[in-house]
Amino acid sequence: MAPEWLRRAWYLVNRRRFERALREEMDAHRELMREPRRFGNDLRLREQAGDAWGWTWLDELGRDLVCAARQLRRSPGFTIGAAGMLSVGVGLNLAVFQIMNASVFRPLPVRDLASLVRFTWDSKDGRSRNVPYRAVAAIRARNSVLSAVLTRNPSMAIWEDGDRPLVAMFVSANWFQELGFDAARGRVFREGVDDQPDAAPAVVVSHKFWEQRLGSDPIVVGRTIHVNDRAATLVGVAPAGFPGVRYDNTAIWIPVAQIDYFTPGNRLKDSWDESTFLYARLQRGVSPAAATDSLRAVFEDLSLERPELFQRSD
Amino acid sequence: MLILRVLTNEPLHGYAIAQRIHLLSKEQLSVEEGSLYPALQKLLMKGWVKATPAVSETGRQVREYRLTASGKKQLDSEVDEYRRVTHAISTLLSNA
Repeated sequence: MAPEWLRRAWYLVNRRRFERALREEMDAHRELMREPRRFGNDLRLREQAGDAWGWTWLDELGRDLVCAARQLRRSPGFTIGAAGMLSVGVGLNLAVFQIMNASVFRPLPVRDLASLVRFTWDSKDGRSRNVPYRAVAAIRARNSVLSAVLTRNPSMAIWEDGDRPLVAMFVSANWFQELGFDAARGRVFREGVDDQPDAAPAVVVSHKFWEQRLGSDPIVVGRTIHVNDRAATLVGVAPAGFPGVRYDNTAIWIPVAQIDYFTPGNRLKDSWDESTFLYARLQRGVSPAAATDSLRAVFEDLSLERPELFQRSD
Repeated sequence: MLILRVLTNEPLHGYAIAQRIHLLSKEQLSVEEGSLYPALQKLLMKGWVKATPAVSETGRQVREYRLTASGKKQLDSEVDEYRRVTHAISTLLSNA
């Protein structure tokens, strides 16, 4: 019987294949269910399944290293000592590092990565989860340290009359602009336009999706398409390699303001139980530590208004 | 423990495991079915189950999970432990 570390290494090397197999069998499972809704949130479950293998730290480490490298450049004396000690550990793990290098250690090519932060909601039992979407408006309105607040909400959706759901990401209207990307064709979402209640339904497709499903059609922008049987305008194609914030296979992006139109009955905006991935830009000169202190006041207000949110122990 | 238990008789794929747990528990236990998959990954990592490719009733490519020898041992020790704890609790409740 192979030891556990070998199985874990095997998983790491064949990660994509394992993930594909898992997705296949979860899809198959849902097909067989009478009430597929009871299956649970696909993306969350897949992330949890991936976490079971214990490599999440490696993904996180990749991002942390980028941040650490910046700090180290400022204090070279410390860098030399630390580099000596680290190289022992790195040498031992070299096989793993080389395999991961291509996909994980490449820093996210977003604009000004240092001022981009992610929020999690930590409960007393030490677990962290995403932030209730309902809290986002309060955070956005009441803080004085953030220059922008971004959200992303993964979902599955059906494109035209396709038979397999694809990953649709409902994002804040500033998503592309704040990450520093314009469209490869057409336009990306705009604040003040796509976040308005009367905005026309709009979809941006990934470059890969445009190539593979739309045959790189050069005049695709402006066309009416259907997502979950809802008509919308394809307003743009994202640039090739537009970054995800984690392993990202998003096929289409939709403004989160339009989530009710595309997925009727969803409760993201109404329920304190529905959470969102929440990111923000720190204002110039504000350190993450200072931002945390300043935001504590916002959360204290929230805790007075919704005490039960801060006491859940599940 | 429940997953290992339902796999003692025969190898099953994910949907069948969920059905079996639901039925065997006299429909008392009904969890979010998808949460089965993170649990299965853990069992795979520990080497307590092995996966082989199979085809579902709808003709989809799935994996069938089979209990390994070390999985059997793990189940036995978990069942022992469970019995020990429930026995202790019920003794406590009836004597307190």
